[in-house]
Amino acid sequence: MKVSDALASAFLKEGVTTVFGLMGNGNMYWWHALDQHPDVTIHETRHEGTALTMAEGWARATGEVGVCAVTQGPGLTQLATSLTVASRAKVPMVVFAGETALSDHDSVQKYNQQKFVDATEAGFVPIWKASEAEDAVRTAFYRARVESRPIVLNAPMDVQAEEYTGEIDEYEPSSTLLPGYQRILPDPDRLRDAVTLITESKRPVIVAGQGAQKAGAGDAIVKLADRVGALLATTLPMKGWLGDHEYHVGVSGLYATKTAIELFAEADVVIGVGASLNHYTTEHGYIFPNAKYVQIDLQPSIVMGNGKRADHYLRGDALLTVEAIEQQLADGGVTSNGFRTAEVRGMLAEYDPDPRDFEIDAGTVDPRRAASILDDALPSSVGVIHGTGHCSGITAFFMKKPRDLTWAINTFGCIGQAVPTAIGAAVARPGQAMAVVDGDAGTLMHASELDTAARLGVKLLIAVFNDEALGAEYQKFVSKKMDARASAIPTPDLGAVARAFGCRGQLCTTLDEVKAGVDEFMAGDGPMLLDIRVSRSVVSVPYSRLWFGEDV
Amino acid sequence: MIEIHERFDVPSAPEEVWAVLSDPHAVVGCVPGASIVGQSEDGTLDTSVVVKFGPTRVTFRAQAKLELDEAARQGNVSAQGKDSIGGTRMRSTARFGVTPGPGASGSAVSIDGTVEVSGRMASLIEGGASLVVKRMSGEFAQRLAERCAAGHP
Repeated sequence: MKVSDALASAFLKEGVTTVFGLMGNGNMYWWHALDQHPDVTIHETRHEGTALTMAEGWARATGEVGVCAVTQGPGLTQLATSLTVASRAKVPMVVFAGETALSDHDSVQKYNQQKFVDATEAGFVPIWKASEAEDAVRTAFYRARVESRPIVLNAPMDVQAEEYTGEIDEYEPSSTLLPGYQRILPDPDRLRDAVTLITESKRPVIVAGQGAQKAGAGDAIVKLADRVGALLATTLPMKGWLGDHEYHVGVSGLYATKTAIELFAEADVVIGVGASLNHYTTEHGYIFPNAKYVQIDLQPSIVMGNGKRADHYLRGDALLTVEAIEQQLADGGVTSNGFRTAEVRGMLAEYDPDPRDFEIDAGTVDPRRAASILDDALPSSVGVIHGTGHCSGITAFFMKKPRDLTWAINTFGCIGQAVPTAIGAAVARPGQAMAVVDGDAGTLMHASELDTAARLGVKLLIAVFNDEALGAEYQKFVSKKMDARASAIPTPDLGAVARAFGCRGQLCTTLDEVKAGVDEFMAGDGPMLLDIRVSRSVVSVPYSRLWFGEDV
Repeated sequence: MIEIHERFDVPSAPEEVWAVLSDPHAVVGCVPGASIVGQSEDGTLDTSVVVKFGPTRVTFRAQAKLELDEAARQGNVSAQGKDSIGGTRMRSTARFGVTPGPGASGSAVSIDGTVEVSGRMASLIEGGASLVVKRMSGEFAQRLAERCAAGHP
């Protein structure tokens, strides 16, 4: 048995069923061995970076360790952006990376792979000799879970080709080394101090982050909020979570509605649950000018986006800590109406995210109306992934329906991630329709993956808000009264492009065509792209605030 | 750094406009969201200004100093301070003047200066800050005209 076979066997024993990758001579023998197993499906992509991102989307949707396979040298360096994104997103993954033979110093593909991986903020596990092969796989999966980030398993071709003499049947997977997540409670004195502050609060707000969902604290948060009359809000990555509560005000931060910002100004206590309350969520603290903070998280300590620590930092499991606070309040007979007044309810019910009128360019639609049509026509069972760019500031405001899955892709602030993330998430949820909304530049960056989407047959709606420009830069140029044409790039009919790749596709220049397109997507099978031509004249609410100083 | 270059006409005589512009309390009354909260012995004014960046309100506390050249009807105002949360500093200087205006009884007012915002707010307000300052300058002109028309103070 070759080392490459032993490595494949170890991946199987780790429970791997799904791999995304692009084959090259550094991973082909490992790939071949793994592919022989009936329980494993390896999805071939058209770029290494998108393979990594699909595996990331799959990992996020399943909660399992995502697996990606690339070949050596240039195969690995194609991961530069996507691997950095996954590192920053703290997604547990293992990347099988071939490496040029250790003995080969003249290969054109020779490269210092560890230096590269270090720069992407991912972990690195090298395999220096054959006897270490299985231990290395176990270490990679262990570290991926414990460090919650991608780990690159570096496998030189000459080591892979050696004979393996170990007992592969005796492999013990990394799960045997993990003690399991331990739910810890904060120091009782700190807890009591926080409860005292919350008891005195007249206007509390709860901001829930990813840590709250991870701990399963949703119901407990609602119970606490109802007891003290708190408004509910989330960080941007958690957009839509707990969204069917009548006192949910949406996202906190630049993507907050005007009504939410006006209410936040009245808040006297902010309770952050599993949220770092960074400068995005708190607008450097300015979104809560009159509040004291209680923060619940697992980090040893956190400096919030206002440059300070919380008044009461509670290190503990989100669920147990929120339950403990609620229990102490209940024991003390504390209840408060807080923000729960008819006036506030009226403000939230009547809210129009953007009442402004814009002249719509000929042959295009108002992107706000298009987003509303998408939101109405896609049932709540359809997950929606928002991309990055000017259009996401519109779709995030106008797609408000609480959904089984809502992700806002903004890690590392790059375009091009949303579509491959969505393909990976769609693979993870077979039989369930999924939608991704992104700009034209973001979609076109990895248009070759339309082939992968068609090949895999995922029921994925790719709604492109096409302003035929780098939309964010276009609006910045306009705000500075510069010549915005430098940021405009014409596109072909992306519906026709999608059809050529084997997807369904449609160009939409009217709102009726958008509605018809979504209906056609829902009625049929497989991926579909809607090239929705949107008017550049409509500036998103976040950009209107940031670049035009508008009070919207 | 945000530059201010404002030119506007006020339908009141130069001496009436100057009477407002040379009175710190009247000037502060013309700045939207501003108030005087104290005065130190050297004449420096302790002022508070609420600025709206989009829907977000930020309160600045600034020490402002006014120097007047009565004969030339010109003045310098300099202010520096920080916001109530403490993450952002601002520094501003401006030179203003009143001359007889184009109309028989009107005045022309000029304001030239700079505003510097540094610290946490700087990224939050991005390019919109210059438009906010521009809007405040416009409101200042309007309030000044109204105050002069109503008969100072």
